[in-house]
Amino acid sequence: MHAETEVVGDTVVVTLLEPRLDGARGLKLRQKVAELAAGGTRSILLDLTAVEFVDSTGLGAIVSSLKLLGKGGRFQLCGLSQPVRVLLRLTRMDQVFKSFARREDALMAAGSPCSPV
Amino acid sequence: MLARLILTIPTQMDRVADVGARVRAFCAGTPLDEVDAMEIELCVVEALNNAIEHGYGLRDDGEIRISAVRSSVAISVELMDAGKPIPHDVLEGAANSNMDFDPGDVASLPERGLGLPIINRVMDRVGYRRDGVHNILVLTRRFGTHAR
Repeated sequence: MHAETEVVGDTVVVTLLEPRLDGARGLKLRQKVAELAAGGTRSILLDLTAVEFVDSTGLGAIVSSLKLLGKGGRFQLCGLSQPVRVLLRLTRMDQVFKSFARREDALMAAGSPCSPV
Repeated sequence: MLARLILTIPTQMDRVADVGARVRAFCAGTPLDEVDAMEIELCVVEALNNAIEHGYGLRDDGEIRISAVRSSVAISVELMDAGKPIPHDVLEGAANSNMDFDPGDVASLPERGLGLPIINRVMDRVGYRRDGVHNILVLTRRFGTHAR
């Protein structure tokens, strides 16, 4: 999984750089989030701007990542393409995840300054 | 008039995306809109993922035949493979699933098993039979049935 991470305030922005999030890549995402959570991160923004397609295994990894942050954790999404929004709607996961069109809006909502640390 | 798309792939996960994209493109020229086509692509991907993971245990020595047909009233996608049969209780459970979870109860959110419920939600008919050797899964979406 090709991804970048960036700390902005108390939020870690994880930007996925590959066009698909599915089984193998989903596992790596979950591992990455597990590392961040173990290091004390409580707020993650998953930037999916580059992601054109997510299947149910990729969605499962996103759900698992949310659970890893535990009570009080914040896991938000931004940059959802239409196929990703379709998946979230079909599975009712659009009622679970707060999502934003732009990273800046998500960071404002999280109370993190928009400039990286 | 019928139009048909026939593809055969080995049971390799990295071959799934292309099939999904080809079936999505095959939806053009029907009354289905872009979102409908995306939903059907997702269903095909989920069905192929399930066949490779559960039918073949991720072995890459099998083959799956995908045959899509479009008519004036519907599009149908048939997937045929020689993997393990789909258990009846899995099909039955998925057909009855409405993905009914409490969005506020994070611990109860499903992480797996959404493929067949997605297929059942998108498609108007999901047919499965076994001819002794092969699994034959047929996904049918009629035109004009899903208001949005």
